[in-house]
Amino acid sequence: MTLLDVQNLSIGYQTAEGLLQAVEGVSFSLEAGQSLGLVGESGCGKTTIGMALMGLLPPNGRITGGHVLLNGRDLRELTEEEMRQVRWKEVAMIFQAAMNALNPVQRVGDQMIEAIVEHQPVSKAQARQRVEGLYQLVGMPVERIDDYPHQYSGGMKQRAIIAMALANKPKLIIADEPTTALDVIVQDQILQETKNLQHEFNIGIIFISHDISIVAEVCQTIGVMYAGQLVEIGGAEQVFYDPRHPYTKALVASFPTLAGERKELKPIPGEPPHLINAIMGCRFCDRCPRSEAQCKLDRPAWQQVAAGHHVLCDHC
Amino acid sequence: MKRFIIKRMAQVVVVLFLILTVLFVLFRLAPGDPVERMVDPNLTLEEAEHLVEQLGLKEPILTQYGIYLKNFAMGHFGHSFHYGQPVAEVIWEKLPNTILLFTTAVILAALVGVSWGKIAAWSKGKWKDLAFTVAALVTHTLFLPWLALLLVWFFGYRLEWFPITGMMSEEVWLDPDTAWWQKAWDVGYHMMLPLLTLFLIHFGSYLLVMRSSMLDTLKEDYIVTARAKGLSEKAIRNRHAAPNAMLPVVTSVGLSLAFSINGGALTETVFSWPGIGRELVFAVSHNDYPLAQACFLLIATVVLFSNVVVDVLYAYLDPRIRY
Repeated sequence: MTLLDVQNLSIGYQTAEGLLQAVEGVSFSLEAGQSLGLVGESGCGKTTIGMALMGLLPPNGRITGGHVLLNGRDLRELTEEEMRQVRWKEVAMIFQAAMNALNPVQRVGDQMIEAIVEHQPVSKAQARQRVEGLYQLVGMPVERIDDYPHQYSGGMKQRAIIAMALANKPKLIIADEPTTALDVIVQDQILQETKNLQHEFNIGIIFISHDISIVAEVCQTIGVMYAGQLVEIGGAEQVFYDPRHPYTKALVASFPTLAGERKELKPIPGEPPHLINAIMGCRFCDRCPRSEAQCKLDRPAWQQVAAGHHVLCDHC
Repeated sequence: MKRFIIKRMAQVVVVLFLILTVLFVLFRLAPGDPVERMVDPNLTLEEAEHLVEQLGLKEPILTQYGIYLKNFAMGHFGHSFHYGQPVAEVIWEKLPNTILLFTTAVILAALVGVSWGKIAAWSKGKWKDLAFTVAALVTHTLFLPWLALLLVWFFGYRLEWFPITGMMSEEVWLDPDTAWWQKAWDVGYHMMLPLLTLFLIHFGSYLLVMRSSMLDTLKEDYIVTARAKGLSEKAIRNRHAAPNAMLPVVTSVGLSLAFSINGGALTETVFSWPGIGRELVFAVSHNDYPLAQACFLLIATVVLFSNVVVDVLYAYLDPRIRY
């Protein structure tokens, strides 16, 4: 059964200059136990999608269209109280800023116990036992449960957040740049562990990152986002080794590879469009090496380039 | 932590010594004859001579300084001219009254300021926020003696709800049949107006500090985490936001307590509350030098110790702070 089905999702932020359409017409689905990566540069709307899935958009943000079906239930139709019960029990989140995601004046263990007793009919002592189990699961010494966040290293904080995300055995975890603040070695360990835990507990993961090489390593499916739209989606190998959309090609070319030949990294010239203005044609056309006059005027359509590999471009 | 407290105590002793020295110099630099100031002018010549001898005022200045330090170290603060009692006795008699009034006022103001500041920040931009903020700004900027007189006029004179002077009624305290709770009630009844004055002046600043600190805290990532965990709004506010936002209020409360003696002087004077602040004003205006000197020293001591208490409390509230 499909775990998460996002249909034609649009999200806008009310700003002083008007409605900023941060996400427009994004559709993807995720089967239970599978992982989907969302990649794109800063401001492309990937974090906004993550927050919207949690029902945690800031006060000036709202979903302007589309549906988010979790196990067949439309999250948009839930009341605030029903949504509160969904959070962390069915959908948990691993945060972008893990360094500051823990409350500095509360013991780490207490913050996890709190997440458990809020959603499960268990006593604090039982919750604590579960937290001890979680610590072992993510490879952290159990005696550190009663430490404060500042006594943890960056990697430990990240592990603690992962352990916390697993606390209620959710079916879906949204991991927003979970390893960005860590050094490469710790990053790799944590990615491996995340992958193992995902298989062990059959969790669906939406992995949000700006780094397409990391996403390709962890996820089965990759969705590439540009200026609030999904522009290419397909299997990880397909998208990473055979990118079709000019933006994805440029994105892959802008990251170094360790094993491949030494070639110059190519930055993408120009800037993404300002999303406050309505855009008629292709959003990438101003930066696209292959753009034609028609690209500016016509709304691009989805093309299937291979089985399960789709591109939002009329010229690929 | 233990080492930190010992270190801070050592600092307090050093600073107190410096303050004693400054006081010694100031009282001798003041125009006129020190003998005239240190010895009660109402005494007979013989008695005065004797006292001058006793106080060591005929010794060279350095010896005088030594005697002065020794007296303070041993707790001899001299005799008050006005009361004819040892200064220490006068102070011990008045100090609890000041503590009772001021601590009660500051604690009440802090409780109300913190909880209302919390609510104001939580409903930022709504009518509750506006009402609390305006109330805080108005009361906080009022001129204390004016407010005190206004309260005396309205509640004491026009409505006749509360007594306007003193701390207790004679008929209650002289009656041997009065139970302790009747006495306590009587003191509380007398305390209402000065308490209200101090409360009104103080709660606004706590409210404003708490509100802005809370607004900063609400932008923190761990608040998003708390929300993502599916906690109720109340739990997010009280368990995650408020304990972090409280920290600056602690400093503010500590400083108010530090300045309780001189800060309470105006209130105590207006309401004839028999406390240290009023005593200080009285001692200065009536040239009761030994009493004034001891009051100044007491102020310095209270300020220094409040700072130590705030530091220790901070480490207790914020685990990131370790000494």
